[in-house]
Amino acid sequence: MEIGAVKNLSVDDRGMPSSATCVADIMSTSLVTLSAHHTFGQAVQLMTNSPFRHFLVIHADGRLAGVFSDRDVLRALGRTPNWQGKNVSGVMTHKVFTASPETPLSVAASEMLSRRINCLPVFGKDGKVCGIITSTDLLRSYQKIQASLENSCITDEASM
Amino acid sequence: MNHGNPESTAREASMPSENDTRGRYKCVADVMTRKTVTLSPHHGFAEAVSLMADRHFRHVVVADTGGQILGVISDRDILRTLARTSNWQTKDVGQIMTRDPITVKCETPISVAVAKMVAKRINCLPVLDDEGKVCGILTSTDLLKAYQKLLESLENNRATL
Repeated sequence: MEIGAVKNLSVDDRGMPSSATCVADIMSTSLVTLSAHHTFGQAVQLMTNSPFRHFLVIHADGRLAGVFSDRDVLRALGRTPNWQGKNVSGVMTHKVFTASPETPLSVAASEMLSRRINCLPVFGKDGKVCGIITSTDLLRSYQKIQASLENSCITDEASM
Repeated sequence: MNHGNPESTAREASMPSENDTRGRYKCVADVMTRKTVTLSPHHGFAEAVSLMADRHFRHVVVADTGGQILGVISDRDILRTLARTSNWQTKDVGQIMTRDPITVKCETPISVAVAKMVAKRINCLPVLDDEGKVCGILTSTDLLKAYQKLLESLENNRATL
């Protein structure tokens, strides 16, 4: 009888943690940025020593130049013979998919899945980067709602 | 289907057939990837790199010939090796894999698996059967897919209320 309880979750919370619905609810606002001129080696060092897998690459004037991710590093390694000599701009992803704070989480998740990416920089109405949403942010949110769904299943089964 | 009457809404809410029930998964077996790629500890570093770069996965299970799990090698392991080892070309999978990885079982609740992944900062959990053999792998992508379905159905249900 789990399904009825699930429905209730979206109608009223029944005291459970309310579910996040849009990007602004769960995005990270602390960002690690790089300049396009950092060397590949510096970027790899930074990535190894930080918990983040995605760095925004920012132009001197503050505009977004691209995203540098752990996947970019792997790809460069597998396909570029002289990767040691590259700088960040030669390896990063230039075509960046973004979200706005109002983007529904389901849209953000399907964007990540269909593009096979793990982060979306978030742009505010003023056109400036205001955060980043990663697959980890989504998983944290999933864990909360999934736990409350599982709990309500148990409650329902017990009360039957 | 409803007219804003709280009582009828409550009654409808308890009728499964009226609801969008996509994404209502319970345990790891419902969402895991059953097809896994396995390497032996003797494969070279370069083989692991090209496997990951060419195919679309970030995690490979390392197992012995009997199917018993020895470790997991991830793109993070490769990055770490690259950044910290000068002679990475000569390394093999057994030297750079994560030993004794955190695993789950088919019947582990999904919320428990997600919590493990987030807390340990990992993106995959090998799924073991009762004999300790690998029967699948649960990745953050599997979980995102499940969450995406759940979000859509919740939005759908909200819209029809």
